[in-house]
Parts: sequence; C-alpha cells; structure tokens
Amino acid sequence: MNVLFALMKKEFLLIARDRWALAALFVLPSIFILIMSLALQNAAGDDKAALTYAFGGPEDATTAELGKILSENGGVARVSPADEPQFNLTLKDGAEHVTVAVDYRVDGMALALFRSQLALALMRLKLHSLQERFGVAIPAATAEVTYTYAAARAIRPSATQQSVPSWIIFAMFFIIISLSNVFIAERKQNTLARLRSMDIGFALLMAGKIPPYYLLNQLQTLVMLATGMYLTPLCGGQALTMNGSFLALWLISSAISCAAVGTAFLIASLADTAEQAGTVGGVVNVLFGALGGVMVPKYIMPDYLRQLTVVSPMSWGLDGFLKIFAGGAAARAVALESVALFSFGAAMLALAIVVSKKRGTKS
Amino acid sequence: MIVIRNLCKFYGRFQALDHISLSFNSGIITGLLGMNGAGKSTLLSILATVSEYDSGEILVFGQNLAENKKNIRKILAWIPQEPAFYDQMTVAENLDFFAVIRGLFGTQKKARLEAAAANNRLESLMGRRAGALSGGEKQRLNIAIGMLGDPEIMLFDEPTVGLDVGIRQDLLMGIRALKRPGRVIIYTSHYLDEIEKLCDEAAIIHQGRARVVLDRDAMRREAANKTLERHFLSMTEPSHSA
Repeated sequence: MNVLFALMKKEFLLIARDRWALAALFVLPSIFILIMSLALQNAAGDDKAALTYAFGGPEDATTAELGKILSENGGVARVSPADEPQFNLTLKDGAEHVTVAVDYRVDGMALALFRSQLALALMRLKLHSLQERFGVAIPAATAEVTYTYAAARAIRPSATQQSVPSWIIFAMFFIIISLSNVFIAERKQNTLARLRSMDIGFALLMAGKIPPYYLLNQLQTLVMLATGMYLTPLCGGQALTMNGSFLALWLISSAISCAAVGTAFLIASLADTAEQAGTVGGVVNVLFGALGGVMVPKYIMPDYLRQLTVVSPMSWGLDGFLKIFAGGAAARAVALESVALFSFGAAMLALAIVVSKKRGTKS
Repeated sequence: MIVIRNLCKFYGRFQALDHISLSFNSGIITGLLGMNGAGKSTLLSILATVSEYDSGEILVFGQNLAENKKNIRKILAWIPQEPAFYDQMTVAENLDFFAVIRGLFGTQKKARLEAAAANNRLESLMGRRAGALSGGEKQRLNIAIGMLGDPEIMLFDEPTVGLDVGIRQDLLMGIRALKRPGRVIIYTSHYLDEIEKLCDEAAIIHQGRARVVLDRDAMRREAANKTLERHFLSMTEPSHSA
C-alpha cells in the first residue's frame, strides 16, 4: 500500500510542477468557455436572443398591463426605445388599435413569432377587462410542458450550457499530452525499466497513475463549472445553472475521465517520443472535439454530420452533460453514455497494456 | 556469485549476445570492456531482469534468474547509463520515492537515505531539483538511488559516459568504496583506463561474444605490462572482428 501511495504522490508532484501543462489543463479551457459562451449567445437559445420591443407612447395602465402579459411569455423582452428595439408599439384607444413599427433587419420568422405573441397578449388583455367589467372569474388555461429524456436531446441549450460541458470534455482529454509526456520521459530515461528492476509491475504502475489523473479531471470539472456559474455572468454571459442531479454529474464526469485516461495511456504506449505523443494527442483531441460537437454545436450541424457525431466519445460525454444541464436529468438518464465511456476507457487501457507488454518483451 | 552459461539474445535477426559464458565473483569488481554496441548494456539489462534472453542459463547465488526474478530483484541494483530518476522532483524527493519503492520505512529508511546521501555527497543538494544538477551530480544521485537497498548485486552501465576527467575519477573512487565481501559489482565501460584502475577481474566483449576473460592475476599482469590495450585493440580491429 505504501508503494502505491508513493507512486501516486510521485505522479501528483510531476503534475503539479508542470506549470505549462496546468495552464493548458485549466486556464485555456476556462478562456474558451468565456469566449464561446459570449460568442454563441445569439446563435443559441439564450434570453439575449429574445424579441425586443418598446412602447412608443406614454406609459399608462394599459401599456403596463400589456407589458406584464408579454413578459410572461418567454423570449419577449421589453427594452427602452433608446436600445433600438425590433418592434415599436403604439397603442390607441386603450389597446383597441395597436400599431407596430418593425425594424428593417427583423426577418419574417421573428415578425410572425412576435405577431402571434402580441395577438395572444392582446386577447388576454381583453379577457382581463371583460372579467373586471362583469365580475366573472375565468380561470386561465395552462399548458405544462415536460421533457422526456429522449426529447431532452432535442433541447437547444443556451450558449453557456453548450460551452461549459464542451470545454470540460475537451480539457479532460487534454491530459493525453500531460500523461504521455511523463510516461514517455519515464520510458526514455530508463526510469520505468529501473522501477521494473525493483519489481514494480505495469499494473501497479498504472494503479499509481490513474487516481491522480482522475482527481485532476474532477478538479478540472469543478473549475470549469465555477467558470460557467460565476465568471461568465460577470463578463456579460448567461450563468450556468445546475438543473440535473449531482450524482449524474459525477457519474458522467468520472466516465469521461476513464475514457480520457485510457486514451492517454494508449497514445503514450504507442508513441516513441513526447513530440509524437503531443502531435498524435493533439490531433486525436481536435478530431474527437470536431466530430463530437465540442467545437461546433451539434444543433447547427447538418443532419448527416450530426449522425456522424456518434463515433466520438466526446459526443457521448456531451450528450450526458446536456441531459443534465439543459434537460435536468437524473443519474439513470445518463447511464447509457456513462457505460459507453467506461467501456471505451477500459478497452483503451487494455490495448495500452498489450502494447506496453509487447514493447517490454522486445527490449 | 553470478554464473552465465551460453547466453544468447536476438533483436529480430540481429544477434546481440552470442553464447556468452562468464562468471562474476563476490567481493570484487568485475569489468566488462567493449566498444559501443558490443553487447555490454544488453547483458546488464538481462541481469537487471528488465530484458529477456532467448537461450542459455543464468544462476544468481545459485538461483535460476528466469525462475526467481522476484527474489533476485530484491537484492540487485541496476544503475543505468542515463540518470533514471525524476528531473522535476528534488534530490530528497527522488531518494525518498525510490526508498519506499525499495520497501524501506521508518528508521531504516531514514538511515539508508542519510547513508546514500552522505556516501555520494548529496547532503547539500537535497532541496535542489534533480533536473538542475550537473552531469556528475546526476550520476551521484543515480548511484545513491542504487545504494538505497544495500544490494548484493550492483550493475553499473557506463556511469562515466559524457563526464569530464575530474568527475570520472571522483565517481570511480565512490564506486570502489562500494566493494564489500558478498557483493557482486559489475562495471561496464569502453574506457580501458577505468577498467584497469577499478576492476579486479575483467572480460572483453566484442560483437556479442566474450573474447578474453582476465582473472585477478591476469589483470595485475595486464596492468603492470600495460598489455590490456593491445589485447583490446587486437580484438576490436576490423581484421579480427570479421
């Protein structure tokens, strides 16, 4: 047990002393989260992309009531006339006659949407006045929408909901470079062989490496979540909110970590030099990321490309995270993605053991 | 004592060791002399149990190496040519790490760490990152790590390569001090003068074969007559090596 702790402590020391690797693992993805959360705000389903309107005339009870009803419908925001609203409303004779001046940049879809929202709000306004005049209470009809988990896939996440998990996954896979650098240096400098001559087998060596990198991945997850929750809103983006269960979050992040560590071990076992591992690791990371919807959100991909995302383990992880953040999923709902990622990680690790043993026998 | 009989090792179709038979006695330092690529490092890595061999037999204190690796690993220290430790860790952290790997704990660990550091004059360097040490200091740390387990067998793989003369002499003195009854020390080098000065017995290896084996008396004669160089050159010249 003491030997295992010594191996883990050694790994922690090596990770902690590599400042550039730490910057790549923590600072870089945090910056990506900030940039992408802000950049995607208009493309994603954020409140910032809402239809905006202002009242042209003076504020009175009718405009206040109409504004209140419109604000109850999501996606429509009242702004001041100075903020260049998309729609300028002028009310005549109470709300009997409404004139809408539309900004020339508003497309037909947005106009149709706003017209339907406005028509609905005017009807409700009339209904309220009838209720008041005749003293009849008419209960408002409500429609509650709930998402099944399969349907949650189709939810269009907000910019922050998309960016945070994407770059968490990308950052977690970045340990490929850090882990393989250490592993290859150990092999090149004969430190691995020296440890073998001291009766440290490959299994024990791996057991000493996996927990530190797993904990590093979990720490990355926490830092990136904090970036999404606290730093992004400070910079003008939408704050990340936790809708799903923490157990689900832990499960999926552990599964991604397993896949990342397994991939890192395989690349480290195959590569002869740190440069090779860096290049291959970087390419694998970018390919997984591009195919998995990390760099370009899946919802803006064409259908055929979206179907192709299934080949990337980053896509499985992203699906799991989105179910939690956008769909409010519980642990059971991310079981499929988690099992897939754990299996992928185990397969990579098994391959890494086979490759390393082959290399060891050859020497 | 280590006895090697008819040892062969292939890398693909290349034969690195060709039916080598040698014995290494306890209480002395045995030198393995040979040019680069002669097979010295291969032989040492096999004895260090980090490489396999294809045929032959190795007996270490009467135990067959192939069948008793676990036992033999407990009593051997392999000091590879390249410093085999962690550059990002300090000297103290490296020594502590390898001491635990060696199975040392508590007061025994403390005593061995202090002894290894003192014998290799590392006390003042304990807090320094290993990667920031000079070439000679790195080799001293490399040797100190090997000393931690107080091993019965010490295998030195060309520890002085790339070091200047003063540091080489310093290291050789340190290695000579490791000689004690019961301990087998094997020292490989391609420097004739090192083998002459340091070793009690020697063998010249060329193209994977043990060409000349010199016992204690023969070594004294060679040193006195300065004939080792002639032996070595006659063995390694192209006309003899075909």
